[in-house]
Amino acid sequence: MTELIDRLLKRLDRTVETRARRSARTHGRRSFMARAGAALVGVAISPVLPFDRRARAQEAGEDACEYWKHCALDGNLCSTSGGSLTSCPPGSEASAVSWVGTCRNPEDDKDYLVSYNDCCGKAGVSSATFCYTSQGERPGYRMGLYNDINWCMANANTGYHCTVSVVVGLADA
Amino acid sequence: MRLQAFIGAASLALAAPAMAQDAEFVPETVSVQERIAPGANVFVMDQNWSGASKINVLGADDLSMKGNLSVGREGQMLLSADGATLYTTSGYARRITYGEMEAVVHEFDVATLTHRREFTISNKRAMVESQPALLGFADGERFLLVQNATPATSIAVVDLARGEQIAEIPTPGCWGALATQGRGFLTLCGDGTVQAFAFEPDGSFGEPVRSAAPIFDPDADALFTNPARVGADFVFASFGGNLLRVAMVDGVPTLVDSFSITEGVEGDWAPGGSEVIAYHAPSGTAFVLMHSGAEEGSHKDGAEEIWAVDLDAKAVLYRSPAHHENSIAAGQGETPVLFAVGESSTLTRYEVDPEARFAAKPAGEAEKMGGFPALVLTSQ
Repeated sequence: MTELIDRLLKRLDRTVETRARRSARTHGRRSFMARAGAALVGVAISPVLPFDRRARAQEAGEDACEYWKHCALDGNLCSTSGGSLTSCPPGSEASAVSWVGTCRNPEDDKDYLVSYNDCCGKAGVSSATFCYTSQGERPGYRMGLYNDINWCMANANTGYHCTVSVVVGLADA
Repeated sequence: MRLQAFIGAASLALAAPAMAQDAEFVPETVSVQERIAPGANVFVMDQNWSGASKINVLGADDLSMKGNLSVGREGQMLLSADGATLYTTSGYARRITYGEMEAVVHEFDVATLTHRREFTISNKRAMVESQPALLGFADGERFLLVQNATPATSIAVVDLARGEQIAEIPTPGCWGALATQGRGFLTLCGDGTVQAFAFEPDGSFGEPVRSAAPIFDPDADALFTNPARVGADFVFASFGGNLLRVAMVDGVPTLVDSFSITEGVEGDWAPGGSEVIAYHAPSGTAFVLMHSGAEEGSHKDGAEEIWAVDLDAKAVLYRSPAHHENSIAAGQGETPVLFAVGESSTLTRYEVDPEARFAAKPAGEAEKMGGFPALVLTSQ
């Protein structure tokens, strides 16, 4: 988990890096950190998930916005843009930084940490499925949970293309 | 010879009508209109993350299309108090979607929809949805406050007279810059505090002043970033339906009032959108975008209703039907007029009746405001 957090933080700007890191670890990603910490000590997280939404999540395929891994995805699905659930389409590049959602898998009823990486350097595919889900999403004062910003921001090539949903950890033990 | 005579006669016969037309025909000439139609305006930002962002400019009275402004990617906009000047920040990558980025401030003359000047600022400019809290004035209209995110957060201070960025103030873990008196601003922070920063004309700045205690709970009841400005105070809406009034008291950001607008209301109503609250100063009335069936993750849902709220009485006055808007702005004439835009890409103009508890009724709409109409402003 520490490795994941370090990876997410590694591209923080150098000028304000020291202060930003200190603050981000204290405030900026507290919710995510709290959940990560909960995983370590075995405390279950139980976000509210209404029955009908859970049923839809169970039935939905990965190209549907209701698919459980897309619970906090505001953007185009890469799986409908020439890529897949976890891979960027050819010719694009994965964002160096990402935001994180906590999504419940209806198959095992467990919560997972999902890293939403933007794919960058191209315009979006016009026919791509656009999703607008924001479970657990928060404004930029919780930057690691924020999905209204272009996460290609730390790349050399910053045009927004699409977003992948990559399960990177278990939120509850 | 006979053939030549025939050809000659035929040519004259064919030419005759043309010659007659030539005598009557006045060719049209291309021109450029110098100015937009007079009157107050509405500005709708159609933001783009892989191409030009476009700002629709419409008449505030009838939503007639007056023209547009085009800027770079991830555009933000800010209107001067007199409505005559629009500032934008946006980004220009060398090959639009890839290559070296250049962040630019544009200053536009609204009357002619032309740009007066432009200059570059730090490339740390946040590539983020258009929001008033992320581009603002300070010290009157002498400075711009520009939200940066790399994703480390900071505020760029731009001296408009000099046309250059003079400072980068680190605001780690915080978001937004809301100008206070003098050369200061407030920002919301991830630990629930509100911090106050100040800077000098030379770009120097000191340590922030934090609120004495957390003002909000980002986990249980987060605040929307974009508040209504009420005098010198700010009224924030929370995800759960509370309105929190924050003021500078003896130089310290302080929660001076809060109340719920949803307590006791059936249907699990809550604010939703981005610019969820607008304030009409002459009447002291706030207007809030609301949706029903609220749950974790619904905080960006479009509005089903617009609630008029008397901030002094702390009471909901009226609930009017809405059209799935995410962004709302209020004109500041004697009688409130609202402008709201959202998921449907339609801008709706609402007229408000103060004699009917501030009920809002649609009074015009403009369709096709773009693929991502993220923000609406008005000079009315």
